[in-house]
Amino acid sequence: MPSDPHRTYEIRCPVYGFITLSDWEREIISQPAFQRLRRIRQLAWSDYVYPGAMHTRFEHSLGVMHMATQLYRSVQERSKEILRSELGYNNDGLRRHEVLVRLAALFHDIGHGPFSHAAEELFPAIDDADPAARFKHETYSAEIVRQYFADVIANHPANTNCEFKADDIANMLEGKPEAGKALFWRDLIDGQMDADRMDYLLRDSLHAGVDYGRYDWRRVAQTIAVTPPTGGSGPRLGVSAGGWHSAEGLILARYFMFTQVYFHKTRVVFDHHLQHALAEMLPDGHFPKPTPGELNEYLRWDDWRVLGELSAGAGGEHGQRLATRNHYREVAETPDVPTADDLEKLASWRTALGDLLMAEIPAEKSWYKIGSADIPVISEDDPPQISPLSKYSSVVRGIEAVHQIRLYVREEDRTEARRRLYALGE
Amino acid sequence: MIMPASDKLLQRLSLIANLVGKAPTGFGRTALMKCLYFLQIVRGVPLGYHFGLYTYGPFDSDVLSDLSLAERLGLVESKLSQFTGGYRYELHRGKVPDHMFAGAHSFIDCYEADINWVIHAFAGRSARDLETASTLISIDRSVAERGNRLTLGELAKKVHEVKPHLATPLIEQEVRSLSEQDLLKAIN
Repeated sequence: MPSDPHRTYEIRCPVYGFITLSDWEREIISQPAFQRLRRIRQLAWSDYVYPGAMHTRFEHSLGVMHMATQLYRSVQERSKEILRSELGYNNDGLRRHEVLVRLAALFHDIGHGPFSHAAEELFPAIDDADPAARFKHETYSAEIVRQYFADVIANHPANTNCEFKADDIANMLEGKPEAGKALFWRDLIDGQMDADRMDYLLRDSLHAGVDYGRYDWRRVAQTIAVTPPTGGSGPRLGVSAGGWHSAEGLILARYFMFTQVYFHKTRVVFDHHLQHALAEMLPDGHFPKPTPGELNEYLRWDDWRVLGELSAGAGGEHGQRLATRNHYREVAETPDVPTADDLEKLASWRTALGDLLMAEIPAEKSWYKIGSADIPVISEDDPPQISPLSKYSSVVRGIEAVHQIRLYVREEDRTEARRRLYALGE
Repeated sequence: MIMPASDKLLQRLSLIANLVGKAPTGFGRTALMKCLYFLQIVRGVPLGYHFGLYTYGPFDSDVLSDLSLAERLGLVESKLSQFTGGYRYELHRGKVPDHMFAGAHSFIDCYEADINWVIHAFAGRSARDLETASTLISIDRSVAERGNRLTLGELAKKVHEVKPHLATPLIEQEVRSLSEQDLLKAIN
C-alpha cells in the first residue's frame, strides 16, 4: 500500500528534541546519496581531541532544515508587509517558498567529501589556468541534487502544488540567477545569521561537550526580520532591536567555538594529516570533479572508505600518523590577530626552524573562520533606523577576524625546535 | 613585512588597498565587493573568490574577511557612517604602503589597466546602481554560459525577478548602459 504523501514523521534530535519531516522529505533522506551523510563526520577527526564529537552531516542536515523553518516562519510572521510590498509575496508564494527553503537546507551539505571540510583542500581546480580556484562543496551539492534527486523531487505527490524541480533547489544552493526571487532566502542557508551556523554551533558544542557554542537561538529566531530598503539597497535579513543581545550571543558563540574547537591546535593538524593521507589515496591526488561522468565515483568516497584504506595501510606517513595519533606538535603561534611585528617575528621563526618545520596552518584557510560580522539591527522607531550590530555591541565591535598562524614540527624534533626558538628570544 | 599565508591572499590585500586608494570619496563595502566581482568576472583577474548571487547582488564573505585583515594591517581604514534610515561603511587608505608585499607588486602592475577601468566605470556609483549592475552581469553570464541569448527587455525582466523591489525603468536603464559599454555577452 502506498504511503500517505501528506503524512508527517518525527525524528529525535539531541538539540531540538524532535524534528518533523514530511513524507516527501522522508523519501529524500532515504536515498543512498543522502544516507551517505551518515558516513561523513561533521567535525572530521575532532574526536581525537573531543571524544564525543562523532556526530555526522546527516544529523546536522536535519537540524539545519528544522532551524531554517523556525527562522523562515518567524520572518514571515514579523515581516509580512515588507515581503508583500517589496518582494511581491502572497500567502501561496510564502507557503511554496517555505517548502523550497526546507529542501535547500536539507540538501545544503549533500556534496561534502569524507571528513567534511577537511577534504576540500583536495577538490580539483575549476580551471587548470588558475589552480588556486578549486570547486567548493556547494557545487558538488548542487550537482548531486540535479543528478541523483531529480526524480524524487519532481515526482513525489506532495510536489503537485509546488511543481519544484531539482534545478530549483540546486540554483538556490549555488546562488544562480535562475533561483529568482527565492534568492532572498539564501541568507537563511548561507549568510551571517544562517540556519547552517546556527545549528552547527549548538550541535558541535553539544557533541564536543563544551558550552562555547550555546546562545539564545530561540530569541534570535523570534526576532529575525526583514529590513526595510534603505539608501537604495533592497530588503535583507536583520534582527529587531529587542533581539540584538541574542545576535551578539551568536557572534560570541562563533568566536569561542572557533578559538576553542574549530581552530584548536591539535584538531587542525589532524586535518593536515588527513589531507596528505587522502592525497596519496586519491588518483592524481584529488577528488573526481562534480561532473556527470565523475560524480558517481565521488559519491563512493566517504569516511568508511577512507578508514578502510587507512586500516589497510594506505595514506603513507600521514595515514600512519592518523592511525596511531602521532600528530605533528605545535611549537609556535602568532596572536589571534597578528600585527605587522608579529608577522616579522613569524618570518624569523620559519627561518630558525628550517627543515624542522613540517606544517604551517593559518586560520584564514579554515572553513569556520571569523569574518566581519555585520548583522543589521532594526530599531523600533517609526520609520525604523537600521544600524549594524557593532554599533549596539561594544563586544562585537571589538571582535576582529582571527588570522592566527600556527607552526608544527615532528614530536621527535620538538625539543630541538624549542631550543632554536628560545635562541631567538622567544 | 612578510606575507601572511598565501600569494593569493597577498595579491588580494594589495588589490584592496590599491582600489581603496584610487577610489573617489564615499567608496564603501558594497562598492569594494562589486568592483572585485567586476574585475574577476568581466576582466578575468584571477582573484579566486567564489561569488554567489543574493538579492543584493554577487557576494563572497571572503571579501569581508580580506578587508578585515587589510584594516588590521593598516592598509585600509573603515568608518561607519549613518544616514536617515540606514548606514554604510566608508573606506579610506591606511598609512601602510600598498606595495608592501614584494610578491604582490607585479600582480598590481600586471592588472593596472583593469584596476583603472573598474575605478573609472564603477567606483563612484551608488550601492543601488552597483547591486543592479552586478546582478545584471551575473545573470547575463549565466545565460551566456548555457549558450542562450536574450533581448535587453528579457534580461531586464530576469533581473526584476531577482530584485522585485527595483523599479523596471531603473533596471532597463542599467541594461542599456552596460550594453553600450559592451559588457554584456548574452544580448542579441
